[in-house]
Amino acid sequence: MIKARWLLTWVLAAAMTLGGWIAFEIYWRGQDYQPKVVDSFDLWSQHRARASKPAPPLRVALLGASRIQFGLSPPVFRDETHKLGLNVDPIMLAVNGHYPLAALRDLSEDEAFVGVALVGIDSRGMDRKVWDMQAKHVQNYHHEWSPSRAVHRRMLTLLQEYVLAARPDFAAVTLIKRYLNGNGPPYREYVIFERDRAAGTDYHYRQSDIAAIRGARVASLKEYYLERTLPTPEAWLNEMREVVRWVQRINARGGKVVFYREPVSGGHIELDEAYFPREKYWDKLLAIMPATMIDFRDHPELIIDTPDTSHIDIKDIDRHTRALVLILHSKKVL
Amino acid sequence: MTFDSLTFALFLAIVFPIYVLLRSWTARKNVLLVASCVFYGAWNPIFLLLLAFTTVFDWWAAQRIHATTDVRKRRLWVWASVAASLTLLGYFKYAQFFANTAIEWLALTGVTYKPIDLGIVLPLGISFYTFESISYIVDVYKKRIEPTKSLRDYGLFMTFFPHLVAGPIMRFGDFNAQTVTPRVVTADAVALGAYMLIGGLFLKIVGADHVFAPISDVVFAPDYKAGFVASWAGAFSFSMQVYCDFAGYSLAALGIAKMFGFHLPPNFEAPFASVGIAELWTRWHISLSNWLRDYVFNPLGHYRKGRLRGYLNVLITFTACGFWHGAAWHFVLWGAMHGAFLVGERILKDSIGEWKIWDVKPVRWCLALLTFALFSWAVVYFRAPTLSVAWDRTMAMFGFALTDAVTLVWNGDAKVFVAGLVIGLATQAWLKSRKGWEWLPAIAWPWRVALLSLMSLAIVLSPGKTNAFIYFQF
Repeated sequence: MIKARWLLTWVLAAAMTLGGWIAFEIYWRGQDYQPKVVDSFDLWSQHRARASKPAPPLRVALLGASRIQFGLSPPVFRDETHKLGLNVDPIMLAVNGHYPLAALRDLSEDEAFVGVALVGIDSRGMDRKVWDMQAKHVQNYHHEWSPSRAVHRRMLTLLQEYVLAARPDFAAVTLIKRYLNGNGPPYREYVIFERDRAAGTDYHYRQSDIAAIRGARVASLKEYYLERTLPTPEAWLNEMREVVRWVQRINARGGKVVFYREPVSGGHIELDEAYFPREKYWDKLLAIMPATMIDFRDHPELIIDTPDTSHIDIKDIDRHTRALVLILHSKKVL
Repeated sequence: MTFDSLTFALFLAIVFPIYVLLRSWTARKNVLLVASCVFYGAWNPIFLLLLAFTTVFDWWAAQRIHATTDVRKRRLWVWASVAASLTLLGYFKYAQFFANTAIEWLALTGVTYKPIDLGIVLPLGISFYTFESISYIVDVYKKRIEPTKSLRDYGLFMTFFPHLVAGPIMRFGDFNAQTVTPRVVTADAVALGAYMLIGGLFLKIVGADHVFAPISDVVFAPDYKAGFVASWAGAFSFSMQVYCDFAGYSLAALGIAKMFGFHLPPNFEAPFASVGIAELWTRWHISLSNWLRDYVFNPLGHYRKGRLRGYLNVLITFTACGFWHGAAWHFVLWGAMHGAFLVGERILKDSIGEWKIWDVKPVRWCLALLTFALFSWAVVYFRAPTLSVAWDRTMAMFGFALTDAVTLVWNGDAKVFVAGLVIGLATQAWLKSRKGWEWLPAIAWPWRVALLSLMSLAIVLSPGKTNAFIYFQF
C-alpha cells in the first residue's frame, strides 16, 4: 500500500512539476521572451581550453572586451580563412566590459599556445590599472575548471539554448524580487549571445532609442575619464614594456600577436583622443611592440558605423569579420 | 562533482541503474568504488593519488596494529598513521596560513619578509576523509573495531561518493556493517531517498543561493558599512544560508546513500530550534561534534579532571573545531566563541539550577531565539573575510556602528530574506520533535505530493546561481 502511495506521490509530483514548467515556458514565450545562452566563467574556460590544443588547426584567440565579443563572428572568421585555404579555429575569449591583458599574459605563460592572439584594445585598455580585469576568468580556468565542470557547462549550454526557464533572470525567486521592487518583468535585451561566446547587438530591436543609448554611453565614458588619474605617455609606455615581454614569449614559440584598435565613432573617439591622443600613446607603442598593430582608422574597410559610438550593429558583424580577416592575411598574420 | 550539477545528474543516471541491475554484491561494491573514484577524479584526477595513498597506508597500518600485541609497536604504528594524515592535511590546508602568520609575527619584531604565495590547492574533502581515517586507526588501536582485510571495502568506506567530499563523517564500524551484508535496494528506500535528495537540492539551490546569500553577500562585503539592522540581518541570513547549504548537502548525501541501500548518520536535526548552544551542537553538524567528542574532548579528559579543566577542554576542543574549518584566525575565533558559549552555559546551568520556568513554552521559544542570535553573532566570524570586518559587524550589532553606517534597504532581497527566515525557523520548530525522516512516509500523500512538487518546481525554476557548497572549502 505504501509503495503504491510512493508511486502515486512521484507520478503526481512529476506531472505537476512538468506542467508548471511547461506553463511557465508558454507564458513567457507568449510575452516575446526567448531562451538564450548565458556567459559564465566556465563557458570562457571551455573555450580557453581549446587555445592550448595543438595545431592544426591554427588557434586564433580573439581577445578583447565588448567590441570584439559583439563585433566578430567566429563562424564567418573560419569560413573566410577557409576560402583563403587556411585551417583556422577562431576562439572567442573576449569578455564584455573587461579589458583583456590578463588573458594575453595567461596565453604568453602557456607553452602550449602557439597560435595567434588577436587583442582588441585601445590605449585606455593598456593602462596597468585595468590589466587584471579578466584575471578572474584566467583564475577560474586554472584553478576551478575541471572535467566535471566541462560536462556540466556543455549540458547547461544545451539546456539554455532550448529552455527559457534556464535563464537566470527568469529564476522564480529573482522574478518575485523584481515584482516586489516594482520592476515588473525582465528587460527585453537587444543583445544576442551564442554558445561560441560571440554576441551581437541589434540596435533596431523594438525601435531602440539609439540617441538615448548613444548619449548614455558617451556620458558614462566622460565620467570614467573625469574620475580617474590617467598615466602620462611616458609612464604608460614604460608599463607596456612588460607586455612586450609577453608578446616576445609568444613570438619565440612561433605564435603571433595582433593589437587591434576596433571601430568607434562620435563622442567616443573624441574623448579617447582627448585623453589618450593617438600620436602620444598608440603610435609610440609601434616602435617597441613586436606585434602587428592595426588601427581601424588606417583601413577604410574597417570604418563601420557604430550606432552607440562604441559597438557595431549585428548586421555589420559579418562584414567587419571578413574585412579583418583579409587585413590579417595581407599582413601575413594568417 | 557536486550534487547540484548536471554532471552529477548524468552520473547518477548511469551509476544507479548499473548498480541495481547487478546481482552480485561484490560486483556492486566494485561499481560503487569505481564510481566514487570517478566522482572524485572528475574534480581533479591528480588528487585521487593522494586519497589512494591515505587509504592504502591507513589500511595497511591498521593491519600492522592489529597483528601485534607489542604495545610499543602498536603505538608506533598509530602515531605513524595519524602523523601521516595530519602532515598531509597540515601541508595542504595550513602551510600557507603558517607561512603568512610567521611573516606577520616576524614583522612585529621588525623583521620583514615579502608575503609568499605557496600556490597550494586544497584537495577536495581532505578535512573530512582525514578525520575518517584517523577515527579508523584510533578505533583499531583501542580495539573498538577489528580492521578489515579487504582493501576494497576500506577503500569504499573512504571514498563512498555520497559522503566523500563533505561528510557526514562516518565511522568505519558503522559503514563496514553495511558493506559485509549485501544492501537491498527497495522501492520505498529509493522513493524516500530521492525525496531527500530533492529536499537537499531545494535547501541548497533555492534557500542558500537565492533566498539568503544575496543579503549576506551585501552585508559582509568589506567596503559595506553595516549599521545595527544590516549587521543582524547579515548574521541571520548567513546562519540560514550556511544551514541550507550544508544541511542541504548532507540531506542529499543521506538520500543518495539511501537509494543505494546505505544508511548514513544524520548531520542536522533542526539546530535552530535548540535551547542553548550545548543542545545546538547535538543538532548541528552532528557527525563532526561526535567526532570531536570522541577523539579530542574525551581523550583530553572530558570533565573527569575537575570543572576548570573541563572548561579548558571545551575551549580547546572548539578552538580546534574552528581551526579545522578554515586556516584563518577568524575561524579560530568562531570556534573559541562557541567554546566560550558552552562554558558560560554550563556555569549558568550549574549556578541557576533547574527552574520550572525554563519549561514554559514561551520562555523556551525566547531561549531558542536567543540561542539562534548567539549562533548568528558567532557566525559573523565564520563568514567575514577578515577579522576587522567581523569586528566592525560585531560593534554594529551591539549599537556601536560607524557614524556613516547604512541600514538595510527594504527591497525585494530583504523581503524574501525575512519571509525565508520566518518560514525557516518555524519549520525547524516543527521538525524539532521529529527525529530523522520517518515522519515523511507517515504524512498524508497529498501533502507529500504538494511538498515534492513545490520543491521540484522551485529547483527547476532556479537557474543561474552556482555558488560552491560552503563546506567544500574545508
